[in-house]
Amino acid sequence: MVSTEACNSRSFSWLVKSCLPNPHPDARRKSGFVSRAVAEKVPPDNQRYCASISSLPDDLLLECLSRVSPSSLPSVALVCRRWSRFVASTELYSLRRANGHLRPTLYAVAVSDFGVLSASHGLEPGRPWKTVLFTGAAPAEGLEASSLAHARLVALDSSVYVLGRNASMRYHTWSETVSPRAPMIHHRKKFAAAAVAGRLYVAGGCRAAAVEEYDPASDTWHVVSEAPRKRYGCIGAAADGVFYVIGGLRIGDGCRTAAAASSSTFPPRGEAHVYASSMDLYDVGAGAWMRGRQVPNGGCVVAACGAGGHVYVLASHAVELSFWRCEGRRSAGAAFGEWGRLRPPPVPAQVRLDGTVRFCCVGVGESAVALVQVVGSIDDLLRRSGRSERGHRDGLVLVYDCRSGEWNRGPDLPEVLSRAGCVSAEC
Amino acid sequence: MSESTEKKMVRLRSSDGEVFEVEESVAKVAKTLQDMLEEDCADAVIPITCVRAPILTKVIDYCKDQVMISSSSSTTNNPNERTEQERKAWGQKFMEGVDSSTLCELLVASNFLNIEGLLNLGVDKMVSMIQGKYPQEIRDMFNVVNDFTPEEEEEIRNQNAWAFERDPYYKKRSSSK
Repeated sequence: MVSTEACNSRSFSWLVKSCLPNPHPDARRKSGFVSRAVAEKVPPDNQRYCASISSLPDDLLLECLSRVSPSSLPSVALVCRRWSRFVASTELYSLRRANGHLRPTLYAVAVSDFGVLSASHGLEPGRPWKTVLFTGAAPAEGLEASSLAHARLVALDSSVYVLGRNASMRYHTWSETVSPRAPMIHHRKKFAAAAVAGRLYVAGGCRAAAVEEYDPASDTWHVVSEAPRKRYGCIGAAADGVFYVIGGLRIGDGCRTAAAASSSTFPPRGEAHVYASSMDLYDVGAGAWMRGRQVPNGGCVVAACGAGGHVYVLASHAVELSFWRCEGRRSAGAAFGEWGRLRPPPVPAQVRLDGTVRFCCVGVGESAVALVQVVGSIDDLLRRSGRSERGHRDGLVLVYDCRSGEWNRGPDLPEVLSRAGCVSAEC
Repeated sequence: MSESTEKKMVRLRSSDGEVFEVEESVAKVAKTLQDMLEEDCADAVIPITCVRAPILTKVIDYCKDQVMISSSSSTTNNPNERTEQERKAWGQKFMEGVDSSTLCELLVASNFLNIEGLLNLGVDKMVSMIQGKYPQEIRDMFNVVNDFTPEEEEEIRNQNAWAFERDPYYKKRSSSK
């Protein structure tokens, strides 16, 4: 890790003191790290002082690296250990964020027999997807295609975490590397996952009600809470410090009493379809569950995400899709948890999404929601809507502009990625 | 400061002992020196112990230019006033031909003297030198020692992506492995 001391020294007053007569001797103590480094580099005779990039203080080098374009960062990470450490550091992320060098980018990751495939798109019109393939041995270790078949993707800063049933990996988008990470404590499949306040949270998808938290700094998982309802096939989302566990089916019978005990307003003896249209809210800061909510009109939630303090939900009904926005900002007061109906995505009517076609919903930045078709064929849909294009069988990408309320078509997901998971990372 | 006819001079001594005499207004472009002068804790000759003479010359050139711009910017229609574009072009020209070690010294000097404009120019120059290069090219340019062990290099190779559908630079990099 980069010394925080070295990075906070934007006012360089301490540097003055190290070279010049010093009226405030305590200033030197405060910033011991760098002033010592500078002092070492000044030869005793003050004659042959020669700077090289290795002698630059951390904050100067970080400032330089924070302005390098994202496409050059993989190279930078390979230069030497120090640079590699910087590219992976949270300091560089904060600096790039502060300098406005971050762009929300949509990532799709799929595991195939020949490696881990990742495609990214910045949602700029006219740009194609950028695809990379990891063929190395490191990600393959314990990460066969099967263990990541239903992996959930969560982004934290510039990293994308791929959480499989019994294996996890981290894809660092700047250095373009993948490395194994600690697997979850419980083996989960089709579970809810989201990032809240720099940590990952997972729930559902297994017989245990445990909600696990992942700390990226220590690469460890631990159980933080028990979910009021055990769900399978649920979707995770995050908004304003709340982890939403949405939809899915009920697992087992044991949860009935737990559900009844935890909430009086919520239907206590929930049948599967009730679970499919409900969501549980875990307040991460308080470590407590909030009152559960019901998606209006009793649809079956097929995709959901958080964006700009709202939770967006795509629900499937018998013959149509509906798209909803839930107010997730707690500053909204009484309006918190209020639903608003939005324009449904422009896919042809009479689609049943469950089973044949599956979408991933991803909040890209504050004001865009991307809907990526990750499973199934829409050839039929195209034919029904009277279009003659070919080669659009998979990977339909629709982008919802939260400000204008318009849907736009993005470039299709590359065909090579099948059964991908999607997420948005800032890089 | 009150006598406008006779400008107050400040003397700066570089790390290799050369003494530069500059107008106070020029020295004050450097925030560090400005603070010292205002606090009146400057000696007759201010030692700038971590900046060599050739670098200090370059820094003083920059400061002189800044003074020239700011002193004439109050009058309308002045020929020295620059548009954003001209300022960029001037900055590029100022940094032209600066090699990597000079650049590093300039960065350290402008950091030490707290001259934000020069620091920005230096950082931008550094970024333009780093961008679009292979790791080995960056190492050669800045004399950085590759301190990865062979085992680590192997691990990195394994972790790294093989990129396609991308700009040619990446194709080149991956095929050269």
